[in-house]
Amino acid sequence: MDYMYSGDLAIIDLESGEVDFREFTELDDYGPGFSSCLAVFKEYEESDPVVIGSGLFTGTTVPASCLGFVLAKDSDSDRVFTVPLNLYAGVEVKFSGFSAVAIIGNASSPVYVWLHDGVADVLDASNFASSDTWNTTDLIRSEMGDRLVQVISCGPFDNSHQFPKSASINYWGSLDPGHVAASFFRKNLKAVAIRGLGMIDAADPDAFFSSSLEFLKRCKPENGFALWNEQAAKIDEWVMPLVHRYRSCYGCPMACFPFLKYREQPSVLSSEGVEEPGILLTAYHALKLLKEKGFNPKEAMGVLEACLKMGLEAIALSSVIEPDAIKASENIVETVKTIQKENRIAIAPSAMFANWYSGEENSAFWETLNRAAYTLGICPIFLIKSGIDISEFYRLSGLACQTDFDQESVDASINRLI
Amino acid sequence: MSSRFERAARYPLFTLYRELFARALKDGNLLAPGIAVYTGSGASHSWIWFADLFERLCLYDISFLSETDIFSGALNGKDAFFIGGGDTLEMACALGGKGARLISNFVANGGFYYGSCAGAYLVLSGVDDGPFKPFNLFPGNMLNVMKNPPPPRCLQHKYTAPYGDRYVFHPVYGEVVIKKREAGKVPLIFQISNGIEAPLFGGPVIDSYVEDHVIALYGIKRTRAAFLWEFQEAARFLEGKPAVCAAPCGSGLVFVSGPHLEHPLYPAASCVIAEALFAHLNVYRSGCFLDDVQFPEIEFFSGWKYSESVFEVAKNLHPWAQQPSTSSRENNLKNVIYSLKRVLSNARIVAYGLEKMPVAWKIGLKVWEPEKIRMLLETAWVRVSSMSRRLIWDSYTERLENITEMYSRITSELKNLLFLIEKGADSDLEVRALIGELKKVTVAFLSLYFEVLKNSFQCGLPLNG
Repeated sequence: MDYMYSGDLAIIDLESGEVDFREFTELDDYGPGFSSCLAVFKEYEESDPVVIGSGLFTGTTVPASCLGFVLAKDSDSDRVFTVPLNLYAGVEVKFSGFSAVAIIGNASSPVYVWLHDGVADVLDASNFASSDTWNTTDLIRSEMGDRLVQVISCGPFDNSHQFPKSASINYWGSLDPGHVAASFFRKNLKAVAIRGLGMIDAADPDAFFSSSLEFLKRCKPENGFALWNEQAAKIDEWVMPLVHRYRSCYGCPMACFPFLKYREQPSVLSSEGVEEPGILLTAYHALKLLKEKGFNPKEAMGVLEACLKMGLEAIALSSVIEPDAIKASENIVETVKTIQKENRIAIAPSAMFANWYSGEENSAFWETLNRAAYTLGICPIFLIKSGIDISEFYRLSGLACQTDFDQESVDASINRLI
Repeated sequence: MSSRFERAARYPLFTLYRELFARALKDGNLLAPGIAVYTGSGASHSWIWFADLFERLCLYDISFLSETDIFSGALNGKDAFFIGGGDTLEMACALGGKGARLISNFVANGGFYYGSCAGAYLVLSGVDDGPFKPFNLFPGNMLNVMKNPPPPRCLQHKYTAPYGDRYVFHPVYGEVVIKKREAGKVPLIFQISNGIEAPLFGGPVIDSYVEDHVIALYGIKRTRAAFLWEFQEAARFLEGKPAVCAAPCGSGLVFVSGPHLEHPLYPAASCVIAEALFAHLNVYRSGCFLDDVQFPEIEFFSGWKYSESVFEVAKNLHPWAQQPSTSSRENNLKNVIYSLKRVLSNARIVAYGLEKMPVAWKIGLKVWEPEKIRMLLETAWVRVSSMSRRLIWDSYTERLENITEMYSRITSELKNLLFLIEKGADSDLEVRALIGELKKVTVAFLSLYFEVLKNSFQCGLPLNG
């Protein structure tokens, strides 16, 4: 594909430490985004691959074109599982100088992968293997000298694998129920850091630009988890007193994620200088459990912050933690660590795509929607809420890459592989 | 994939000049000139734009010179000498009377001098205060100087520079229009368009003592420029004043421009340089290419009409061009290039990090913002892949390794700079040292790069672009 992607497919073998590059021919064979990366995943299936990719429009002027993804093995079934790279991580994947990246094999000691401008480095992570995700992000960003470096990481390497872990995107939660983090642990892979200053080109840039802006004009800006569903709307109301601002992912007029300040006055815009004033909520499901258990919003934030730092799967933790444990605790992180050690929980059964919309894991609607979303690189919530028919987004593909895709052709490609 | 720069390089008329110079290099009937670019004391980052210009023109015999190189006779045997923007005072002090004499001799003996911005101020005969006195190649002065310039509307730090008891001032900073004169001979580009855009970053408004020396006049527009004066006031001051001039000097030609005609995003403006250089050199040396051009009269290609057929000829000038073979690339070289890419990428990522800091440094009279550091890094970055396709000689390995080591040190210095800024510490000394090192490594890289281009071209590999 001559447009919308730049660079080769990188195959990073953690066992040998070697990096190979080859032309990403799967783009032409299977189409952009999810399907071509799924083909790579299948090719390296025996080597427990983690495949990182982006959609056709990721990082462009198309509204909500924030979406990249990580494909990893479902720990139970060995099938592929897909975790979204939202916020700004997907965009950095697109501009990393690679069309896609496959990380195979297991390292003998903790490493992290640094993807930048078409260069893939496997670097030693021994000195921060036991760091939490926040420190890991800070360390890598400081080392690379840029705060825009996107860090997908997992929590401390502590040899306890009885509790689901979850990969983080920088400081915040991904929608990984545990499969990506489990892959990282198997591989001795502490983190993948990505920064790209590359460029992509559309086949007809002017028409692509103006058409994508037309989409934007048709969208109504909205805030909060209420965009997701009614249950989530109730969480919005519950945490409202702590909301400092709403944040969207790259290029999206819909700001789903509330930033909650519980160590500073949320109503004051400027910071009072507290180092860690609150957290960005990127999912509501754990919060719903905590609310039902009788946590107050501040206590719930404390639990979620501990989960984020420790790289623990928040729904799993929320299912076993009780308010009394927090009330009696002087150090929530230590309390959460103890609870994690004392409980054995399996990763929740998963369909192919992480679900954060309806809660119905095997919903056919969600799967079809996600096939489109991960092909186009557009957030599935936006695809639902924008009021623009998905076929209209598909019609942009001709302007983008001189090839017309539609749901039928995308489904056909994916069905060839699963 | 193409960038704004790549699209600019494909500007149709520019392609014509490129093809003409390529033919010169290929068949030897025309002159493929030896070119020198000043990168020494006082030069800002803008000299890197000449590298873009010459690469686009298929001019590969390029030397990047410091004042020390000039003192050592490095201008001998060169055909053209280019000085871009920077701190004119520092340049004049560094080059001194000796440098001025060497440049004068170079031009008197038939050399082509192009000075934009600081390079133009430097050689105006009317700019003769103190260290400027020995530099008087062009009969003219600057008009943008006064004792008490009115306060600026914006960009205070870019507005003035002291000159004796007066101040050189800049009412507009950014894109201006250069327009053709009503009378006289004009470059071919003005047969296509009456006005073309070019960036003005503090260059002179020229008072040419001889009207016939004026090639193009200033015009201003409301967009893509910062107005340090009210628009109407700026227009009153600039409109119709000389922006680009050229004068014979001995057997040579002195070409001065307020705007940076060499800026890579302004290919139409660059056509003016390309045409002047080609016409001067080929009439002077071979005298056989354009019958109607008489040196030293500035005629350019005015007898040559813009037509499709010219472009057809141009397009067909390269039957020898073939895709390079990749099989001959050595693994070792591949690894060396990959290492260079790695350190360059790391350096530019830190440089981007720096750009988010609210910081700028004043070195001499010149303001350096963090983006200028990145621009110097980009100069090498955008060429690495192209160079790797052309590296078929192992002999370059050691030089490449040295350059990689230099960029690696630059990355460490950048990280240290970032650390100091985050701490709120003073970083003037560090940035001065860093920029010095960065200029050195950029010169080392570009020198190697143009050598590779020249050698690969002579071995039959196709042109860049």
